[in-house]
Amino acid sequence: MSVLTVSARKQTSIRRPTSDRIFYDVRHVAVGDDPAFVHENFRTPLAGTSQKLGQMLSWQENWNRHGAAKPNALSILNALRWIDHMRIDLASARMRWREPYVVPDANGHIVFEWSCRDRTLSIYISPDTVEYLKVKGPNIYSDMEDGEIVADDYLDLWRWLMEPE
Amino acid sequence: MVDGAGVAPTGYVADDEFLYRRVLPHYIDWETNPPEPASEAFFDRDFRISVDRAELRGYDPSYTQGGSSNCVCCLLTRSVRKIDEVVKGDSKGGVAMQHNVDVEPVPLPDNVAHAEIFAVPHISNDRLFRRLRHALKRLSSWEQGIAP
Repeated sequence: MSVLTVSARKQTSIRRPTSDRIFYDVRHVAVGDDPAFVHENFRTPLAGTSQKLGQMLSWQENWNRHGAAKPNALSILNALRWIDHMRIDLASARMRWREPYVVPDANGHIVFEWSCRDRTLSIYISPDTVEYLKVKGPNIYSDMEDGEIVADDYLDLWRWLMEPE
Repeated sequence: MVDGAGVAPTGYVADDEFLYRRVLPHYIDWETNPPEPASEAFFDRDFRISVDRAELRGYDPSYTQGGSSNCVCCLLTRSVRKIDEVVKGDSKGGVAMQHNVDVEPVPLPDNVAHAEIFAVPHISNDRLFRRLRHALKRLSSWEQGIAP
């Protein structure tokens, strides 16, 4: 049996641990011939989102009984990559992260959605494009704005969503 | 032809009629407090959103619910028709096309209460249709007893 152990140890050298850092060792210890067992001790910032996207790979055509297309595997893959980049960039910019609501749309592409106060930010991910829609009220013309996301546009979108006027 | 509630369907959905929309668990945003229907709860591949006329359901949303794990949200027809014109811009900043939003009865053999929310002229662009879905999400409210 192989055992993967994770142990947390207090750092006693010059680098003092801070409240938001834990130094840890990961050691693989082979004991017999059984496959390694890995146990997740810490939830990652995208754990919920990744799990939901993974589940969607097995959904079939008409999964919602209203004619929805089977979730597109390339859209799911693109969504996973994209949201990971976004989370990392937000962390670098010291912006607070929240996991999104996530669902496939009617055409099998992925939708991420966040709501904060009266604002909603929706991101639509297909194999080739990433588009956004900002909503701050029911008026289709004056309360909404959409477009294609280029580079790290999402930083400004996140500021708009999270920061009060 | 009458429905189970004993009400004869009319050929026009009045402004003061309430509309029921089934919301599957996948379309509930549990991240908000209280949980809200997601905008995708109002999707339809034909760009016409199916609803039930509450009066013809005897104001019993359980007919629309279609399963104990589903919820039902409610819209007022007047509010739907007041949704601002859905405007598609052109590349020069002008207006390429304007749409109005309406509701009409579309009775089915097994559901005389069925109606559809749609745009005139017909929207065939999902980017534009997303805005309509978000507007409907904002106008909807959970039906008592069938909320998350």
